[in-house]
Amino acid sequence: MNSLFNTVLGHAKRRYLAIMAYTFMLLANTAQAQTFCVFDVLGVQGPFYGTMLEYSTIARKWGVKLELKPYTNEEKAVEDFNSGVCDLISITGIRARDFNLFSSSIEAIGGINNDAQMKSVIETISRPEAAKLMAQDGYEVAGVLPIGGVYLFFNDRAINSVEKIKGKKIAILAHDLVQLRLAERLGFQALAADIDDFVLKFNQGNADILPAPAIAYMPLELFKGVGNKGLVLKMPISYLSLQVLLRSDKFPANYGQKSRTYFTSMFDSLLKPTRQAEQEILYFFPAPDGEYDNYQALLRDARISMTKEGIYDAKMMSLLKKVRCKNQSNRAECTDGKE
Amino acid sequence: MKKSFIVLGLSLLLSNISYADSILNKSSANKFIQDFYSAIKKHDYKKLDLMVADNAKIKLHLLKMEQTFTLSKADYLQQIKANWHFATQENFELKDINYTTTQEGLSGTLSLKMIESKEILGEKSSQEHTMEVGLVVADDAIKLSELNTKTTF
Repeated sequence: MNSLFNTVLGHAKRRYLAIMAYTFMLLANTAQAQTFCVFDVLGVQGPFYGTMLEYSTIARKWGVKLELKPYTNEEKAVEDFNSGVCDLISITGIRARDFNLFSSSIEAIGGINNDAQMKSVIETISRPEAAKLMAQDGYEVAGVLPIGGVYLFFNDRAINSVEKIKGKKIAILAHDLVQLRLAERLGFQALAADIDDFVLKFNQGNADILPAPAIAYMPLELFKGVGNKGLVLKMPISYLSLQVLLRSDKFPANYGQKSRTYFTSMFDSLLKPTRQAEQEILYFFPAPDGEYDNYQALLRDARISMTKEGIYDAKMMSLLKKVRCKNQSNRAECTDGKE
Repeated sequence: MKKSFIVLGLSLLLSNISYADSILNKSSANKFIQDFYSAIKKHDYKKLDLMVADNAKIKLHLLKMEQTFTLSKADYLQQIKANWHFATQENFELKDINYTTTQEGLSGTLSLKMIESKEILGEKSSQEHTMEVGLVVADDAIKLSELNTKTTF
């Protein structure tokens, strides 16, 4: 009886101690601020930094205090995340591929054609059922935010066709292997440059084509490169995203899911600056009659071969195709078994 | 009773047609196109939005490039708006305006030439557009339903 009593007491004691330890751990987690490294080319004045500042007030309600650290250099932010200086980071999808190939593949070439498709994909991958795919090697994707479509800016509208763009000079970011492979696949002559030189190459006429999102149009004065002879192809070749990544061991277990759900609910307001920026683009035209399908086929071929090479995640490619075909069921690709 | 309904129906139909006729004719079509370009000059987006039918079919043929673009109403109005930001001294000269009725009082087509001059991105620009403008009566107002333009742009 005594020994039974002692056993029961022992269990109760252990349980009590375990609860206390867990409570202390939680308190320690909430009391100590987590460092959130935020990349925004405009620093604390930038729209992404503003978004993350708002997010940090929401995170407080979930019991997590975030201390924001601005970065204008994305590479440095990633370095600090890797070395453990940052517990949470927000970076572009291009950089996120080292942490989660599935989520970063949302930016695959020709994978998403419009905002509605982007919304649908983000909603799907942010559901609890997809949580497993959002966690990898101790890192978890805590949110995918839309930046908008990447458009091709031409300095001469005469080259606006699949036949004529081949061999033309395209300015690309030197650090981005995906862009480099893409340029090769699409038959462009790639001019690799860093972020500052990248736009200059186009605006000064050294590059014929520049892939860029609408939000870059006014701040980087891309209209100078397009001039009165060029054109902006109103057909996104890919969709850019901002991705929030966390170190799983630094946050409560359900934090990532709460965070993903929050960012999903913010989709329309996050996209507002992009929609406004798209309104400002001069000579912003859809593909010429008869060229849309040619462009789409070119993008698709590149996407399929890049998936085979392991540059894009096959599961994400399958999801993107489902969403495209649900949104535009008359697409030729919807009847074949590829992707 | 039945007869009186038929008479009433016919008179309603006739009154609709004569009302529509009074809305769209050569003179009102001419006024419409002048008003349209005046709204562009005045940067009156609300007015333009009301003047273009939601399902308007817009085709822009670039003569030099031999390329045709099919634009939606949103694409078309977005370009007009973007021009407002970048262009100054915009002027539109309309000439050789001809009106053809396609359905008496309900729809018609204007053909015209328009010379557009402006200063844009630091350059003086002058373009000639040969246009065919489809007009319809909808919601008691004339609306642009179709635009085919061949341009030197």
